[in-house]
Amino acid sequence: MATADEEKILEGFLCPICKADLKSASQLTSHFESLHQEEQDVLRSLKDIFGKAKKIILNNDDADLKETFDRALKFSYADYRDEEQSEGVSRSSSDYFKAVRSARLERYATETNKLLIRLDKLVCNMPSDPNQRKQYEQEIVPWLDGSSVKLCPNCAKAFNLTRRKHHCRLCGSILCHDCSLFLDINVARSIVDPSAPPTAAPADAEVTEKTGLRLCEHCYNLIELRKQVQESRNAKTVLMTAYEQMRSLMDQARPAVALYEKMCQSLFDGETTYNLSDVNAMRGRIGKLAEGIDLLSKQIASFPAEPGTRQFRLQNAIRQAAAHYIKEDLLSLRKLPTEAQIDEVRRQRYERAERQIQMERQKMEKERERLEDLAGPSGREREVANDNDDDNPLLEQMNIIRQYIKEAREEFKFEEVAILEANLKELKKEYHLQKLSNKC
Amino acid sequence: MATNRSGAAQRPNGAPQTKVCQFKLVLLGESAVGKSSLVLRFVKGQFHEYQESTIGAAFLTQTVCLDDTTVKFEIWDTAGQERYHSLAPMYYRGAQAAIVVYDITNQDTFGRAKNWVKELQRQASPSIVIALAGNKSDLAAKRMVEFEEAQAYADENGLLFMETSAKTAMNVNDIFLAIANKLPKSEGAGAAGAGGARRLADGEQPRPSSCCK
Repeated sequence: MATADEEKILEGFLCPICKADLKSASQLTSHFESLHQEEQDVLRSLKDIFGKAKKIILNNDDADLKETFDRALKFSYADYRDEEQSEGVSRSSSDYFKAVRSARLERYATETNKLLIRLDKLVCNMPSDPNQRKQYEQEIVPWLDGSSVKLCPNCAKAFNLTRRKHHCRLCGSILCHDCSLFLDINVARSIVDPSAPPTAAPADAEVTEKTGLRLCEHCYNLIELRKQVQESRNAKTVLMTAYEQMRSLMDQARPAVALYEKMCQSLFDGETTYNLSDVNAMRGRIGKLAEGIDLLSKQIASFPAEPGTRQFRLQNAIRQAAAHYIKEDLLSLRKLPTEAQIDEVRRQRYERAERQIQMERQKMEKERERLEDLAGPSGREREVANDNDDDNPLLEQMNIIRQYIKEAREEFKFEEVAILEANLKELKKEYHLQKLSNKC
Repeated sequence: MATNRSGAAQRPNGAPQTKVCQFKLVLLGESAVGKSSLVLRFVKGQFHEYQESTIGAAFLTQTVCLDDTTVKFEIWDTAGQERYHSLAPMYYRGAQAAIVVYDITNQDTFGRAKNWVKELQRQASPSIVIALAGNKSDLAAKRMVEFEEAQAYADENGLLFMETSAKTAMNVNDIFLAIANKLPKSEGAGAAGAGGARRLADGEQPRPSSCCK
């Protein structure tokens, strides 16, 4: 029956299709999957067709041929529909995807970190002298030995007298000038130390070897990416800027209102510290602030946002709070007294003061008469000598203060005005007393 | 028959019709049950007491003659070690026949054989002819798997079943012949699906085997 075949026995990791020995299980699997997976099915159906075709051509059996081709080409679904089709095996590849992705991200993260550490070392304590700087840079990042490099690894152009070899300051690799990119040192500093205020370099100024670090494209891209991430983290939205502006206006408005109240009160009290025009100017200023707040809050409310979202609610809340604030605090200011009222109040106050002074003077007169009776007329002469004393330091000081008050008023610094006025009053009183005592 | 070219079937001249069919056969089973020994006995008539463990898979061919057909077996003898398990589907995919081998002196290998049968029924081509071989029947004294048990299992699953011995050559040729007989050799069956025999192309002539002389 069966007899020994003289063929040699093949053994090993044989491909079931081409019988090649693939040396290892994994190689065999990948070989089989890449070359023969589809082939198997196609091959079989093709062989069927060709086998049939050959026979039919020899036998001239047209009907059979047609039927065979129909069956082979149709790939009828009906054949499969009869069978119960199960869904088959499926599995989630997300874990695999995540593993691959995280490995990739980690690689970039570690690489970026390495570059950042080097960048940090490079930009702090960088010597300004070009030669020292070169040495310093090489200390931190060892430069590749370029003796065997004949072509620029990036653009494959030959190095020669005009195309010099350069080194990336972050990875030390060799490149030509055309392939170099420059990172401004100030920009580099702001990347390394985000807390430092970013020094706005003039945008149009070309970054050269002197003001920047020579980098290869790869390092530059990584650093640039990092910079963008940093910037996007610090970037403020339009909404935030508008809100911050509004808050600063409110912060200005609050002391302004308090001051206005004080000024108003002092006017009603008939004091002469503030003029009516001062207070009116103050009122105008508060009105302007209110206008600004109103405008900004309207702007915030009108930012496009989906109704019902938190952002939408927040925007509306800001607008309402601002409107409320304006209505309650800024527009409900006390009405100013009219000029006539002020005059009236002042007159009354003046009269009161006059009366008091009169009384005091009378009291003093009496006192003096009593003293004069005792001491004789010698005191009169002294008074004359002192009376036309123009360079009295007190008078001088009072003039200076008056000048200050005028200046402060022009600059709407009403708090200063109040302090200065009080000071002036004290000086006046002092001067008065001095005069009186001199008279004595 | 010796003078008869095997391509005769395809000739329109009305010569005696001898079909030549080629089948892919795969051997599966636990390590050291005697797959390689069975094949070696079938193909070369040899037996080695110390057969080395197969690496990957071995490929052999053997031709048998039936009444009106010549059947050429392309035999894939797979490695039984567990670490090669993942390669097995590659070999049994597209196979028309499989011999699942177990060792009658080892109950575990029978359990493993059942798993192979299950896997074949699920993954291999639906029309595959599966034979179950209880090898090492010369060691009947140390038998751990009863003939009846295996026979019952084979009947249940529609398998060919024989107890074989590569050492004494008992049932070795018979099981291959039984498979050859069971394989569909008609052209219609061949075209219908994977279970069919592959017709030989003209350039691919199997050697005439001695039995046909």
